[in-house]
Amino acid sequence: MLGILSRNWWKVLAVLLLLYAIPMAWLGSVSVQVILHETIRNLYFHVTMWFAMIAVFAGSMVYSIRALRSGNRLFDIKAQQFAQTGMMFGFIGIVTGMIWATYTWGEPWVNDPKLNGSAVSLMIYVAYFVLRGSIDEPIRRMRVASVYNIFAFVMLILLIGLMPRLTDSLHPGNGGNPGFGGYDLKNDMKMVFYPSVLGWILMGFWIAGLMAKSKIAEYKIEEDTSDK
Amino acid sequence: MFTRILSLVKYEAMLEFRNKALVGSLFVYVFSTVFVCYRSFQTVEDPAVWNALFWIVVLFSSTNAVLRTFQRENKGNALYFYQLIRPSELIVAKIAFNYILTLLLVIGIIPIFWLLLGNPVRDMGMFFLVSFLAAGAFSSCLTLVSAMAGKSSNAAGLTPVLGFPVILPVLMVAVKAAGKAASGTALSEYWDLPVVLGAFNIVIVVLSFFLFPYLWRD
Repeated sequence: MLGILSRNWWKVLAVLLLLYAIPMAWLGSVSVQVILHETIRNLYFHVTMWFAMIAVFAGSMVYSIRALRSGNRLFDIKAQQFAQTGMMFGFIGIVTGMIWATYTWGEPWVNDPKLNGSAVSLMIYVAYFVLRGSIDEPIRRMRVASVYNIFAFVMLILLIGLMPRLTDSLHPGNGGNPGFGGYDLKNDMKMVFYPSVLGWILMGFWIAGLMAKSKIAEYKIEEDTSDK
Repeated sequence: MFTRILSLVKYEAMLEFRNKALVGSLFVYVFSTVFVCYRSFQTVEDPAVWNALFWIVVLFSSTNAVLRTFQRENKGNALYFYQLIRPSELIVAKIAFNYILTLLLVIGIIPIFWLLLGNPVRDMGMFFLVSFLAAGAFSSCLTLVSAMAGKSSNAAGLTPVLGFPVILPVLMVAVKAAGKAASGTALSEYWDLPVVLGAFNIVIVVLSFFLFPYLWRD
C-alpha cells in the first residue's frame, strides 16, 4: 500500500490541487478590472492549459532525446503520446483563449503575434504527426521523428515565448502590456493560480503517462504475437 | 575543420551547377513569376504591395532552390563518399552553400523587380539586409527539414508540410521589417525585427549542427 502511494503521490496531489482550484476559480474573490470584469477567472483555465502544454511538450522532447541516445523504441512511443497530450492541452488553451478574446477584445481571433505564434506552433506539431505517418520503418521513424520533435520544441519556445515579447502584442505580459501580476491587487488570485498551474501540469503528466502505458502495452502485445 | 567544410561547399557548388538545365530552371521560375506580376500591376507605386510581391517570389524561389539539396548526388557515390565525412561538417557545408544560393537568388530578384516593377523602396540598405537574413533563415530551415523529409517515402511533398509552419513566422517578421525599410521608417523603430531574424538563423544552424548526425546514422 505504501509502495503504491510512494510512487503515485503526485497523482493524489494533482487531484487535491484541482479539487481546490477549480471550485475556487468560480467562487474565489477576484480583483474586478475594466474590460476584464469577471473574465479574469479565465486566468485559471487558459493560462494553466498553456503551462501544462509546455510542460508536457518538454516531457516529449526529453523522451525524444533519450530515444535518440539509447535507440530504445519505448522512449519514442512515450514521446509520441506526450506530444498528443500536449496538443490536446494546446487546443483547449486556444479555445479558452478564443472565448476570453470574444469578451475582452471583441472577436475570437485577432492578428496578434502570440496568437499567431501559438497557432503556428500547433501546426508544427501536427506536421510532427504527419512525418510519423509517412515513414514506415520503425527505427528510422523513431530517429527522424525525435529529431523533428526537438526542433519543434525549440521553435515552440521561440514562437510563444520570445517573439511576442519583442513585437507589439495585445496579450498581457507582452509587447508593453503589464503582466497579470499588476491585475492581482489583493494577492488572493495567486492563492488559486499557483495550485491550479501545478495541478494541471501534474494532471497533464498523468494523462500522458496513461496514454503512453496503453500504447506500450499494445506494442508489447504486438511484438509477442509477431514473434510466434 | 574549416578547410574541410570549404571543400565540401565547393563540392556542393560543383554538383549543383553541373546540370545547367536545373540552374536555368530556377532563373526561368523567378523571371516568369515576376513577369506575371508585371503584367498584372504594370508599375507598383506602393511600397507595401511591392514588398508583398517580392516576398512571395523570394519564398517560393528559395523553397525551389533548396528542395533538391539532398538529391544532388546519386546514391552510390553518396554512400561511399560520406563514410569519409563527419555529418556535422556536411550539414554546415550544405547550409552554407544554400545560404550562398539564396543570396545569389535575392541579388538576382531585386534587379528584375527594379526593371519591371519600379523601385519605390526608400531604405535599400536595410531592405537588402533583411532580405538576406530572411532568405538565409528560409534556406537553413528548409535544408534541415529536407534532410528529415528525405528519409521518408515522399520527400518532395513532405518538405513543404514540415517546413512551412516553421517558416511562416520568419516570413511574417521579414515582411514586416522589409515593409518598414521600404517605406523608409527610421531603423531605431524596428531594429528588433532584423535581430529576431538573425537569432532565428543562428538557432536553426546550431540545431542542425547537433541534430543532423542522428539523422545521418541511417
